[in-house]
Amino acid sequence: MRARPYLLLLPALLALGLFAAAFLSFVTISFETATPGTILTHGPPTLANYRSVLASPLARSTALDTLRLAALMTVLTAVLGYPLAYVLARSTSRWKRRLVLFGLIVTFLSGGVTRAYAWLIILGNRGLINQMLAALGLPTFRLVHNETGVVIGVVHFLLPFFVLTLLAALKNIPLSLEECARNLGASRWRVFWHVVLPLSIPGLVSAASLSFAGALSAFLFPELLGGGRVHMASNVIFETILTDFNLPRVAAMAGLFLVLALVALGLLGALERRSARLWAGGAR
Amino acid sequence: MGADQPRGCKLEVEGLAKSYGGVAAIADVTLAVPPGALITLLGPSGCGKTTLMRSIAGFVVPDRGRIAVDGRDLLALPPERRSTAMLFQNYSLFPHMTVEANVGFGLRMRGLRRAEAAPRIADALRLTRIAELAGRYPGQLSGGQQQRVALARALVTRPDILLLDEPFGALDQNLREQVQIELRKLQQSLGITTLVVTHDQLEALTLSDLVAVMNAGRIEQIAPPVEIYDRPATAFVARFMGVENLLPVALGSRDGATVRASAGKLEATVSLPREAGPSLLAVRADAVQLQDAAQSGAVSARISFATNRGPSALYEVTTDDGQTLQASEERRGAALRAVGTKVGVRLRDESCCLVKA
Ligand SMILES: Nc1ncnc2c1ncn2[C@@H]1O[C@H](COP(=O)(O)OP(=O)(O)OP(=O)(O)O)[C@@H](O)[C@H]1O
Ligand SMILES: [Mg+2]
Repeated sequence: MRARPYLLLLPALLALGLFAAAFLSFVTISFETATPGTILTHGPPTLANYRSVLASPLARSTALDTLRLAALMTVLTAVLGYPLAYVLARSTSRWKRRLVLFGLIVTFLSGGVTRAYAWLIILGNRGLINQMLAALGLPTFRLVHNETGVVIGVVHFLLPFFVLTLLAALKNIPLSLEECARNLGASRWRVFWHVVLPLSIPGLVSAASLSFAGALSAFLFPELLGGGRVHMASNVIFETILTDFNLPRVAAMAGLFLVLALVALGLLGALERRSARLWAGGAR
Repeated sequence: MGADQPRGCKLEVEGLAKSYGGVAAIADVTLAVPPGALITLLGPSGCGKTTLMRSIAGFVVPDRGRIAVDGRDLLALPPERRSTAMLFQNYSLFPHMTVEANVGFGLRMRGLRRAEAAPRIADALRLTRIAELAGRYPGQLSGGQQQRVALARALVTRPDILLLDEPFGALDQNLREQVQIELRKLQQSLGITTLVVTHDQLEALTLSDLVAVMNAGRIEQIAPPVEIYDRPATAFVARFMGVENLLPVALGSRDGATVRASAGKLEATVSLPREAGPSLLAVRADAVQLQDAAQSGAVSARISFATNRGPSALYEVTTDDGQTLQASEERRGAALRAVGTKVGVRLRDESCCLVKA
């Protein structure tokens, strides 16, 4: 009887084991050499793949582009998402809250590919926005098949994750603290600046870390909205498999990108731990 | 604070009403608090005390009525522009600021320079006796210390009106009594007009210049504590102030301002009721005088229950004409009267009064 609970864990353990095994074989492969003309690899262990990736200009520029774009996407997501989360947490108007929640859930439920094509229809050179601009006699813009399109698509994808994570943190700030601050003479804006924002920073950093991780691993939107001009890590890995047919080198590239992502997220985590008091200038 | 503290302000509330979804939280509340006075709002849970207080602070927008401080209308102002300081039930200290920053928050928001604010913060910390805690965070304080910080933070802005919602609820009994007295002294020395919400009648009697007893969104009676205690106006107030016996009465002959009231065979001469309408005779247990059986002029009764209550004995007696009432008697070292003993009962006129049924 006592074994029962552990039995329930079995599927999860199996999946985890499988994942670990795949990962391990992937790491092993990254130290091997491709057998030309096949997808097979052979020993002996070598660092040549890593050296080649580190020396590659494409890999370097991809790493920088990926970090830069992911940071930009995270900042935009935070700027757009914070007010939405605040409305969800505090608005007394049920309609406002429903509207925001509905918008986010629709985003969640519609598939990625559907959304990417919807964005093409909206942002395309002859899309809704540019047609409207043209009809008004205004200049049109290139909004897709470039970084702009990718950023819009990914930010839209990240918003629900960001908002729902931050919402939990905002709900944990007692309303009485805000009332108390107003009672002490702070306007709504200063209440936000001096009380809500500092107290929400740990939640904000978690939500931003989640978004950053999502942005680093973005694949679909750079692929479909980037028009082949936007090089983010996942896309470059995917394309390198198709063009080079060199599994060990791709494994090494993916491994290096992973390390980079982990370092960036680790820094964000460290920030999270120090945040609220630092903001208030109260740290000792 | 200290000598330059302006005299307190006059608070007036007129015909204030607020309902939630058709149910009145407060209905037609009118009260006036003289400058520098402390008034307690006393009443059972849900009677609208917090709603009234939050209307004054500006967090509840009333449906009708007027609130004025020294004749200036408050309702048009947002909470941050009203000179009220509210002590929240859970203290609501800012967890990310030190005690000093918490206390200084109101001054910072009012745009005071650091050099102007610092002595006032120090004053407030000294007054509430927490100077040594200045560098700590709220999470490092005991409940009583947190309360002092909240009080210092409220006082430092020199508010016109101080609002305290069940300020002693989280403190244990000993500390509570000590802090009550301390608060009262501080309030008197600063002369701040103060409103305290409580549902503890003893606290109300200890603290106040005026007590307002609320019932279902209305004020039943507003009067100095002694009067509320001795001469409750209604049966509700009497019960709330701990009057044990409320007896149906018939009124007899008048004599000037007094009237003969009889509850069955029991009789008392009491002041005329303030308002017409049905009355009950309010008799505290200690106004019921017990005598050894045989004496004349008393109604005969039997002890039906007896117990100790600190320095006095509490009895339930049943009169020959079937009325049951509670009586208390100082023990003075004597043993309890036994259940079943015959006694004579009489009412002390001066401790009885008529209340509106
Ligand atoms: N925001 C609100 N929405 C709906 N009803 C409310 C709201 N605030 C108060 N009420 C109702 O108004 C009535 C009075 O509430 P209030 O909080 O003023 O009571 P109180 O006298 O402070 O009670 P307590 O002693 O329990 O604190 C209650 O019936 C309560 O349910
Ligand atoms: Mg209350």
